[in-house]
Amino acid sequence: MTMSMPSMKTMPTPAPMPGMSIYNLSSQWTTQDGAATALASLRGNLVVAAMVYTHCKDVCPLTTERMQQIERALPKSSEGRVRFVLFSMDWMRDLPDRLRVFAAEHHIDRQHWTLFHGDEAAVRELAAAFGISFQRESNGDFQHSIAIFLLDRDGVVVAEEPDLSKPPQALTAKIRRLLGKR
Amino acid sequence: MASSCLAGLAVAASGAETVRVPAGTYVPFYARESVKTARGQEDLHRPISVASFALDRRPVTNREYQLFLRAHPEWRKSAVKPIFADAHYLAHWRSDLDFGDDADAERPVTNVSWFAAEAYCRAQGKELPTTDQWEYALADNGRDRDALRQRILTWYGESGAHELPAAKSGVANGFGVQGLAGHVWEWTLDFNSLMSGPDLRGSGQQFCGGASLGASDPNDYASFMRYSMRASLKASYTTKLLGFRCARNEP
Repeated sequence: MTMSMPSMKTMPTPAPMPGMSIYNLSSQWTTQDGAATALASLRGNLVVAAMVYTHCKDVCPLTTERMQQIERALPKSSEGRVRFVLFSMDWMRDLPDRLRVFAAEHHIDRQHWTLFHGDEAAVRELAAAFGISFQRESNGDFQHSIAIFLLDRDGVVVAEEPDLSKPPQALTAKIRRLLGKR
Repeated sequence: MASSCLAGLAVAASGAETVRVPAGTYVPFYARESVKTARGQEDLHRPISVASFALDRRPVTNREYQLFLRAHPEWRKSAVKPIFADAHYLAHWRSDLDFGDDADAERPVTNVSWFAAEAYCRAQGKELPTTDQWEYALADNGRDRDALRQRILTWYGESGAHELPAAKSGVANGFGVQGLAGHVWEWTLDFNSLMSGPDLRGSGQQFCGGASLGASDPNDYASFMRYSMRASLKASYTTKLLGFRCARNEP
């Protein structure tokens, strides 16, 4: 009998990725700190996510604010189990430096949040998977549809809130339920 | 402007013949963004500039798609992930690599999702054409505009009633492109870019900066149908009348 490699013992085989997981997308993203990252690196946590662009004056700051309301409404015990993620659709301007400035301006807690920059192909692929409509205008701004998504620990969208006119209580309740079901 | 287009014929490495579509302008059915005229009214007739690009002369066929599947097994219907294609993906194929009869070989491949179409084009070193590129190629510098619209409407009325024609059938337009009207509906890279138009009003979606602009030509029902169809799609959808062709931007 041959000895198994030491690393085989310590590395559990990951469960297969569900077919509806966003983490099946192959696109690469870069964090606000400049680290190249595959989407699948988010696996294991609940993820609250949205697509925004940081030069947006009206709805995008509201999206961030609504996500922060969810963050504040969660119990302390959820810390480290829910990740807040902003994917920028502005592949030209939202480079990591700019994302860090945006995070600071909006008092984003980088312990719990990640901001991602992707190239045009990555943005198109993710928007297609989320069902987000968007269009880049000649001045570099975007028109886009709005939603906050909740992904389960495997990256499957389990809830979506397109209405940002009121606090996202339904999403918060859903996260609490999922946190209970470990 | 289009007189030199036939000189631009080229055969790509993949074997699919492309046509060089020269730069020019066209007026999209829905304005891309809000622009005011000197009198302060919405300018719905502002032309959009399109740079020259290479476009497949005809839609991608079942045989060409089969070659792609031989090299990319993750896109075969038994393997494809449901996030990338719905359950109807390649529904007309008998099995993973069997598209059916000989006559099907040269017909446009349909029942393919946006993700699948884009993966195919990327494997050829191309991309799906943008909606502007596709519409500009169809507009054909306004050549025979009324006859073209009538032909499209007739096809819309009949489509689905007959077997699909071979991809290479039909007359080439002034750019040398075939089958933009009368074969299948086609995916575009930014099919999900429509931000205005009546079908999105009251859809319950909220938009960031979303203008709701009118049509440049309210009598152009053929274009209205096409833009509405695109707006109704999700990237994983597949239907029996929706195919695609690929494009390449010039450096």
